[in-house]
Parts: sequence; C-alpha cells; structure tokens
Amino acid sequence: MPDPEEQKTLEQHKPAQPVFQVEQQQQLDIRQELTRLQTWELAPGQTLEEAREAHVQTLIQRQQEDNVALLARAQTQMPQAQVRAAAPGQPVQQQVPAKKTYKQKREEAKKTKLAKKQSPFADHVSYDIQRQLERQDNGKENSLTPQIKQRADVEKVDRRVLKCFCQGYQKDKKGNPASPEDAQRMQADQTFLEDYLSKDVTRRALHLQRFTDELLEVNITADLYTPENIHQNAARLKEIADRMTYYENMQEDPVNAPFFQNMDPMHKELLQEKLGLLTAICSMLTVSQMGAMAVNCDKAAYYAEPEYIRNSVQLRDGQIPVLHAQLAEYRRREQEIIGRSVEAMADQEEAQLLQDNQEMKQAYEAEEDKAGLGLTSYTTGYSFDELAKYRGMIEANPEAYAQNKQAIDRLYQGLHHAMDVMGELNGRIMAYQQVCDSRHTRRDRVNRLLSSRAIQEQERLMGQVDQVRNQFAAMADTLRFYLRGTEISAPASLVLEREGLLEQAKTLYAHRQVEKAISGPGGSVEASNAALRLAREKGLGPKETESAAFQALGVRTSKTAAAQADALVRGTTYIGLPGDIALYFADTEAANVDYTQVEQNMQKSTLAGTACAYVSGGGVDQVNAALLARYTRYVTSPESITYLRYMTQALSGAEIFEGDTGKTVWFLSQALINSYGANFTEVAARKDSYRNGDAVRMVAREACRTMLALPALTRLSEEQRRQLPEATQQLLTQYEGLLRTLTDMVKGTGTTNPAPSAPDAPDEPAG
Amino acid sequence: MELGWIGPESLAVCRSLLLPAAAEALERREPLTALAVTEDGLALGALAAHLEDGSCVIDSLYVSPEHRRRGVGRRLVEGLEGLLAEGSEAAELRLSYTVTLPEHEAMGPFLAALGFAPEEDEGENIYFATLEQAADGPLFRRTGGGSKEILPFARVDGALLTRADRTAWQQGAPMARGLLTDARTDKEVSCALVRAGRVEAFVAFDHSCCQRLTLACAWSGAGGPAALAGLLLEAFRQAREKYPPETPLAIQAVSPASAALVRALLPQAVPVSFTYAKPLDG
Repeated sequence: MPDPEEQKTLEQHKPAQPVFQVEQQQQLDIRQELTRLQTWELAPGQTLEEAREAHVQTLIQRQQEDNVALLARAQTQMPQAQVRAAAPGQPVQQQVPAKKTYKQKREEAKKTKLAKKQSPFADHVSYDIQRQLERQDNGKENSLTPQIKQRADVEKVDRRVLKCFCQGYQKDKKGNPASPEDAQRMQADQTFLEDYLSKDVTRRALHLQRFTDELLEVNITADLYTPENIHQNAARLKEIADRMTYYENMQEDPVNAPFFQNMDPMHKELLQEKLGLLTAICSMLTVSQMGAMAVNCDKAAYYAEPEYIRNSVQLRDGQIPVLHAQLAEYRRREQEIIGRSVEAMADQEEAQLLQDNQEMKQAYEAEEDKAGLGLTSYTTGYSFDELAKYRGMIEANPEAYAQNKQAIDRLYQGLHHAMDVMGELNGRIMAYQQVCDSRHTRRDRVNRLLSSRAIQEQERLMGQVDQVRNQFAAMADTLRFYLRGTEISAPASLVLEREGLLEQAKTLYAHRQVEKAISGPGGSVEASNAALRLAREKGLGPKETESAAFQALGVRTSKTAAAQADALVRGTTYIGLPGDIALYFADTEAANVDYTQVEQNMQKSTLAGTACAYVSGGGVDQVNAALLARYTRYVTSPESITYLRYMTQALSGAEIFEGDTGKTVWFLSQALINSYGANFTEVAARKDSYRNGDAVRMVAREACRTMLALPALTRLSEEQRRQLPEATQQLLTQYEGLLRTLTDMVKGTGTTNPAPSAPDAPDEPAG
Repeated sequence: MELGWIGPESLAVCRSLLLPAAAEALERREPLTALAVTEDGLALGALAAHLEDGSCVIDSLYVSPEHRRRGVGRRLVEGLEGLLAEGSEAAELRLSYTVTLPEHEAMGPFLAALGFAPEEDEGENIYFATLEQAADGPLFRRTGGGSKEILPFARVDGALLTRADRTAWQQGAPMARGLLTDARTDKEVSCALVRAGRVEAFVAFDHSCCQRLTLACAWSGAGGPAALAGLLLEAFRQAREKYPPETPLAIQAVSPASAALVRALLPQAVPVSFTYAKPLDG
C-alpha cells in the first residue's frame, strides 16, 4: 500500500497544468457526461422505435396523471361540496380563439400518429378507445392479484365473472392506489372478491344485489351506441356488455341459486326480458362499433387488417336496426310487466283500504239518516252525506214524489249507482296513490317506472270520476226540479232527454210557473179580481173596468211573470205563424200578384173611438182571409187546444170572465193574435226577397193590423157591423165562428184540426 | 361559505354554474378539478381547471350574479392556488375569456385584483369590427378594378373547391375539413383565386363566431400572401352588397402574421379574447 506521506510528496512535486487545458478538460468531461445521457435505456428486447413511442405516450399520459393527482389532492384536502340547489345564473359558452382548437388538433394528430403505428386504419378516436379499454383492463387486473386467481382456480370460480364485476383501480408509480377514490375501489374489490370466493351465498348476496340493481338501473338506448358515445364512453359500454353477459353466468352458478330464487318476481321478469332481448345485440354492437374504429374490443388492441374493420362496419350496419327493434320490444314488455305489477300492488292496497273502510261505513250506517243506503264499494263520508241528502229530499216531498214517481225512482237509482261507482273508482285511485307513495322516495329506475305508471292509471281513473260526478250532479239537478220546482238546468235537460222525459218535464215546469204566477195564491188572477173590485168601487165605466182587470191578469203584457208563464205553456205551438205569413206573400207574388196594385187600391179604415184599423178592397180581402185561415190552422191544432184548455182552466178564477169559457177563449185568442197573427216582422225581414218588397211590406202590415182589429170588431153592435165593408163583415163572421169552434173544442165538445205543418196552395187575391 | 370539490352527486346541481364544455368533460369523468363555494347547501359559484403544459388552465369560473362582490370568486381561485401550492405541476394559473357580453367586461378587473396580468397574445386573437369599419380601412382606399381571377365561391366549380379544401387542410390551414363546401359557408362573400383550373388561395366567411360575419379561414396557398389582400378586398365588396354597413364582423387571427394583416387592414378592429396569467410561487 503506497505511503500516504509519500503520495502527498509526489503530488506536491507534480508540475501544475495550464488553466486553458483544465478548462478544456472540464468541457470534455461535461461533454462526455451529456453524451452519455443521449441514449435510450432500452429495456430487454425493446427497440429504439418502441422506446420513442413509449416516451411519447408518457408525455401524453403525464398530463393526465398530473390532473389525476391534482384532483386527488382536492378530494383529500377539501370536503366534497354538499349542495341541494344552485343559485340562479348560467355562464354562456364563450367563443374560443382558433388557436385553441388548433392546439386540440395537434393533440389529436399526436394520438393519430401513435395509433397509426399499430394500425394504418386507426386514428385519434381509436387511440382514445384503446386507451380507455386498456386502462380499464389494467385496473381490473390490479384487483385480480395472482393469489386471487389461484384461489379462483382452486375454488372453481369463473375468473371472468370476478374480473367483470371488479371495479378495478389505478396504481401510481409506487404501486399504491393513485387516488383516494382508487383506494376505495381497491378496498371494495377486495371485499367483493373475498366474499365471492368464499362460495357462501349469504356473503355474496350483498354484491349480487348490487349487480342486480345496477343492471335494472342501466337504461339501454340507441344513443349509447353512436360513434360519438362509443368514443367518449368505450370502457363503460364494454363493462355494460360484459356484465350483462356474465350476470347470466352468475345466475347459473348453483351457489347463487337461493339468491335468485328469492328474488322479487317482478325484478326477475324484468331482468329476464332485458338480458334475453338485449345482451347479445349490445355485446355484438359494442364489438362491431369499436371494430369499425379499428379497435379490438376484447383485447384492447388495434385491428391492423382491413378485412376485420370492413367486416365490423358491415356487421354494425346490420346490427343497428336490430338494436332498435329489440329495444322497442323490450320497452313494450317492460311496460307490460310494470303495468301488471302496479295492478297487483294496487289490488293489495285496495283490499287493505276496503278492510279499513268497513269500520267507517259501520259508524255512518249507525246514523239514522244514513242507515240502509246500501253503498257497496269503498265509501267516503261525502258519499254517505250526498246520497242521504237526496234520499231525505224525496222523503220530504211525498206529493211531488207521488206525482212523478217513475221519473224520481229512476233518478234516485241513477244517483245511487253513480255514487257507488264513484266510490269504487276513488278506492282504486287511493290504492294507486298508496303504490306511488311507497315507491316515489326510492330513486332507482324500476321504482320510478312503477310510480309513474301508478300516476298514469290514477289520472285515467280521475277522468272517469269526473264524468260520473258530472252525471251525478245532473241527476241531482233533475231531482231538485221534480221535488222543489227549480228550473230545468242544462245538465238536467240532458238527463231528461235521455230518459225520454224532457217534454213532460217542460210541461210540468210550465204548469208550475202558471200556478205560481197566475192561478195560485198571490197570482195574477187574484190581482185581476182585486183590480176589478177597485174599478167598480171607483165607478169606472165597463170598458175601463174590463181593461183594468185584463191588465192585472198580465198575460198580454210581456215580461210579467204571468206572461212568461203563459209563454212557457204555449211553447212553440204558434211559433211558425209569422213565417207562414211571410211565405204566403212570397208564394202569391211568385204567382204574379202585383202587391203594388193591392197597396194602391186597398182602402184603410179606422174603427171610430178606437185605434183599430182595418183594410179592405183592392184585393186585400183575399189577403185578410188567407191570414185568418192560417191563424185558424194554428189555433185549432191539438197542441193549441191543449194550451187553450189549460190556460182557460188557469184563468177560470178570474171574475172578469164570469165563468164563461167563451170569454176566456176570446181573451186568449186576442193575446195570440197580438203575439203571432199581427206579427209581420218576418215579412219586413225578408223585404228584399220580394219583387216589390215595399209594397208587400205595406200590404202585410195593414192585413196584420186587420187581424189585430178582429177581437175589437167582435164587440161592435149590429149597426156598427153593417157599416163595415162586406168583405170585412165576412171576415168578422169567420173569426167569430172560429171563436165558437175553439170554445167548443176547449170544452171538449168540438174536434181538433191536424197540425198546421202542411202548406196550403197559395191563395191568389183577385185583381 | 364553504369551499368543496364537486363530485358526481353535486355535479348535477352545480352543472348550471359551469360552462357547458367543462360540465360535459366532468360528466365524462375526465380528471378536471372542479370546486364550488356553497352556503347552507346553496352553490354560489363554481370553478373547473386542468393542468396543461406546465400551466393550470381555468376552464370555467362563474359566480351567480346575485352573490357577486362577496368574495366567492376570490375564494374559488385562492382555493385552487392552495391546491397547486402543494405540488409542482404548474408554474402559473391561466384563464382565457372572450368578451361577447357586457358582463364579461368585469372579468379583467376582477382577475387583476387577484394578481393576474394580461398576456400579450402576439395577435392571436379574435377581432370584432363592423362592415362599415372595414370600409373605412386602408384596404378599401385601394383603387383599381377587381381581378377576373378572384371569384365568389358561388361562381367556382364545386370540384375545385373540394380539391382546394383537401389541399389546404393537408397543408395545415387552420380550418375544419370541408369548410369550403359546407352549406354554412357564405358562398356569396367567400372568394377564391382561381388560376389554371386550380384554387390557389381563398378567404372563407361564415357566421360561426357569435353569429357575426366571420372570416373563418384565409389561406394564401400557391397564390402567396399578396393574394390575400385582393381576396379580402373582393370579399368585403361582396359583403357590402349583401349586408348593411352595421353588420358585425369577427376575424380569428391564428398566427402573428395573420394578426398583423388584420391590424393593417382593419385598424378599428378590437381584440376581444384575453388571457390572464398569474405566476405561482413554488
């Protein structure tokens, strides 16, 4: 060993190097060092090209890893945000300067370049898909340690099932979970694997339930398999396809049999349909769609041969319509299953509701006014109260009931049935509500489907309840009409029409109004008698006295209660007369009657001391006769006689008539002529339809006024009559004959004419 | 107020406070870091960011208008800075935005107050102007008739356009493939220099930027940069015939050269895209 002292002496005596040589040497040393670094430390068997590719991948991946690390730090150092709502506002997507998309293009170009090293047909999309699949596969492999694999083989547990249902986790460079989330996934996988390898179904059950829930929850739609979605979610879609496939393996594992046997039948059925219809097509489409993008889905590798890609494209194109068809069929079957399940649940709830309802019904039926109502279905207090109310109403009006027993019986039965049906519907609605209440807090897909189906059914039944309730209300209205004399409401008239009772009810109503306004206590007959007495006490003349009594009767004055009641009884009996008059003029003008001539040649006269005007001569007498003939037809019809008879009876208490039917008929006829016979408004309204409208209108007016004068003309003395034109005398005679005929018919001693519906041949005036 | 990270459950609620692109990236489980400030369960503002080339880029930063001036935005940014301080992945924070609405104008002062400074963009920006301002620019002071070789796209054979589209794209023109034949390209305003049966240069307009008449791509190709001036002159002439003077324009400059061209031809054009950066102590 050299002597240190000697070495030191030797060193001291070495000649010093020049400075520039030292510097040069230093530079060479550094150069060497740097050159040494300019090498790729290739792994055994790795080529230079492979090393370069791996480095590019690292550069791309490094950013990804940095982002994962930053996110993991946030999750460790901060709490997760607990939010129930967001404050209002939303940022608007900004326009990005082109340089950014340019940058993105460079990224994509890098990925495409890497992918093309593996396959000339791959691009940045293929790259992303392959990386996702590889990452997922590696993650799962991390969980499937060699020990796990060995145990699986020993226990004869299908490794593919284990791998498929692991979540997988990512490792960092040290081999530890890359983030807290990864650590959680690793733990979860360990638990699952231990439990599953135990071959104890009670330990497996929790996991099996989780996988079952997940498969029930996943909503398979056609959108999942678009190229864009495959690009973004390749790993997830592969996982869905695999889990659908290997779930069936789980179902076939005898260890799991108790779990699947005890599964809820509805879930079992849903899964059966889903897996049966969709597993194959989803798996095939996942494979073919990724294959069309040059990725071998099963191996997380690229397809380098074009025929695989071509085949994938063809397969995919054929599979997409199949997916649509299978999905449609699945949706249909899913709805059937859900529908049946909802009905079964509602049946159970309804049975319970009916049971609980019995106690309430018994309590109500103990009340006297509600006993014996005989409601058979689910009943509420409302049902009891309402039906009892109408039963009570009938019982409180025995007379009205007796008079209209048949109608009221049918109405009451209708009310009862309607109430019973409403009860049943309400019970079912309640049952659906119970189904909905028990499901809506559970947020999973199946319960949402059940809940929304229950709501749908509820709404359907609520529509029916509304219809039945409306009918109930209409029948109640009708009952009130019969029992309390209220007006016939629109809904009630529909009920009556349906029962064929409408006309009868209208008549009944009209008669009630007449009784109230005219013949009954406080009616216009009483008022007329009072007016008569007063006029006599005051010493008024006969005409004034008569006028006062007639006025007080109110029948001739429009808008009084008596006039309205009279109009109700009259109905539409005479309503066609003004139109017939108008038609007469049209027909005669068409038969070449020149009304201009008639107008010019007719003579107008006024009854002295009155406002009564009449015309004669110049051809107008034929008009007068025709109008009277038309009036006669209407007023002698059966409907008219029924009206006259009834009103005669109603007015029989009026002392002004002195019990004389003829006088009453005269009075009523006068009112009728006022309302209809003297009504030339139809002619005036159709003036423009006549050749000589103005002339027709004038002639019609005067002829109608002549009609109007007839009642007054009957009061003339013989001498006054003789002074009338001949034709007018004849007209008057005819009118008086008509009055006698009417009186006989009202008394029941005459015959009625047929209804005034058939038109006459036009009567042509002479001249 | 509390600061927390946005997980999958809270994303559904906080989504409305994030720009759509950021929210979609989070839904795809991309590793963006997303934070929210909440108060009694109500999210007041949110931020999303990712690391890129040594910077931390803020992709989305938004505070509900009702809760501004309460320090929510500051809390979000400082929270992110705190996370970055623990590691060494980023040397700076960056945020880019484009002023297309009045409320965007408050962003600059807000960022400046937090210590951010605007970056020089070397002209790579979006420029807004109007057709009237273009008419006042030096381009239109040029006299002389138009060249017969410069034609609107509507008068150029479709096959030529298709070929030019492919060539330009392959040569790296900053455009989407198919721009020249896309139905959304304004064929009356966009112009091409056609020589010897080839399109040697073109300027393509559409309405892709904030629905403004947008110069989507100007490519000089074989025509050389000098061709662009003639193309732009003709294009703006066509635009003035088709649109009223107040028609808003947008021009994306993707390189210093194109930015210089924009400033020269449209001196009144204003840049509307800004990038602010803040160095991180580390």
